[in-house]
Amino acid sequence: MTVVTGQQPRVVLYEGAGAEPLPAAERAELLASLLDRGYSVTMAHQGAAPAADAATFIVVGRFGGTAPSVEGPDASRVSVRDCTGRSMSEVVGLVEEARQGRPLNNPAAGDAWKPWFPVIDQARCTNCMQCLSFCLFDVYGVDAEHRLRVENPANCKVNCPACSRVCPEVAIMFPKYHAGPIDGAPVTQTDVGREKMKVDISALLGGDIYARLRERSSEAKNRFSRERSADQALAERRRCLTKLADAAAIPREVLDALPSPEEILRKSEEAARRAASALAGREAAAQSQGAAPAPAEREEPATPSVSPPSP
Amino acid sequence: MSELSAAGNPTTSNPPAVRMLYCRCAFAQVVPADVKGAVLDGLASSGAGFEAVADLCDMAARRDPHLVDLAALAKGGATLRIAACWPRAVRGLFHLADAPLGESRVEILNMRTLPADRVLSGMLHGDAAAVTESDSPRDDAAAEKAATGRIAALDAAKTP
Repeated sequence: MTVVTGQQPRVVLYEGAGAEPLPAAERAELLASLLDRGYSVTMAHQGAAPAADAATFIVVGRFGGTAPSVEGPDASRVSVRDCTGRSMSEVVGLVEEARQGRPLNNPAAGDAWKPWFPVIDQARCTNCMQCLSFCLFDVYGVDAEHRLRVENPANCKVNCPACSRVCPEVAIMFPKYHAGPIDGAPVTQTDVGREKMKVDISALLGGDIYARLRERSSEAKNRFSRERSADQALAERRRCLTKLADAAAIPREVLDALPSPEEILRKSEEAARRAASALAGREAAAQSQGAAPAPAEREEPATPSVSPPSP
Repeated sequence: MSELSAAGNPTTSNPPAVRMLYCRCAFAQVVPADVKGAVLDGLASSGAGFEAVADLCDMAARRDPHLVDLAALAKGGATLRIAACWPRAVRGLFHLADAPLGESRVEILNMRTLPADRVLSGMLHGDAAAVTESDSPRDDAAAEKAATGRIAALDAAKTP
């Protein structure tokens, strides 16, 4: 999988003064082809003024053999290509050629990264840090003001919406999810109250999840010493996680890829420490400013349902 | 031949009062293909300038500075019309990219729930009702009916 950073490479399709407009069908075909390959496109007509940015690398249009000059701080890096008499597939070829190795997350490529990650509804989030405490993959972090932020989107496990299920405020969205309110659809009172929106991971596993993990880890060690059966251990792990997968809509491959119980414990302790630190930071900041935390935060005590293991 | 700015537009000191942004949602099938296709066709044949991106989620994950530029334009008084998905998600994506939309003039049209003609009407002419409907709870029965209609239309188009 390729995770691309930086700006989406931008193509300008120019039909302003001095350029002949493309036939409507060809224009639509070219736009769709470029977008489906991961490019951004600015459709520029005379009088339009899209913002110039460093991502723009090519201007294409039917210039009748006389390409216009390009102005701007990055003008020297912008190619101008006349597409008069060319088919749309040839124009796409010109664009690909001009890209010159700029990284591109191409949806059609086999190794493309599907942009799947949590998105926070700031109007609902109370910074209770339950998600930060829950996530084992360092997706979440906190900003300088100790507020929750999605720090490492690419760390998220594609198609896994588990953290949205532990958010008590239904504030976590996955825009590419298939159903609401996780996809961003309006949150109804029914959603807030619905039990499935507040999955108690502890209850799912029959008690404190970390106690169970410690117990399981210990049992596993004993069992390995007696039976040395990795297959049996795996089977047990699968049985245990099936309930979690069903209740929180977590893809099986994500559960199968979870680290060992010891590693989960270590990561969860680390995440809980970060969450506690963020909460303490917010409290200290509020006190130093002589202000109480926002009402929602006072009403919702910051008590993660997934509590860290005792030392 | 006129000169172009680095973004390919004729140099002008008057930014337009309305900016349009279209999201292709190229990495998922959650936006009906016929809707996003018809909206793109409509924008492309409208004669208006607009910006199209492969995937807003992808841009947000990169914290693409272009989103900051767009948000700043909206805060500066321009109306930003966005054809994408649920408004709550779109606002969250801009915030993630350090480009919060705040209370600025932003009109989000939801291609997951609205038919293409309503999205186009909202994008090209402004349609307050379409913007409101974009953030209304999904009517599953209506969505199913609309999808059935689209499939029937596609089948009819394929029939010689």
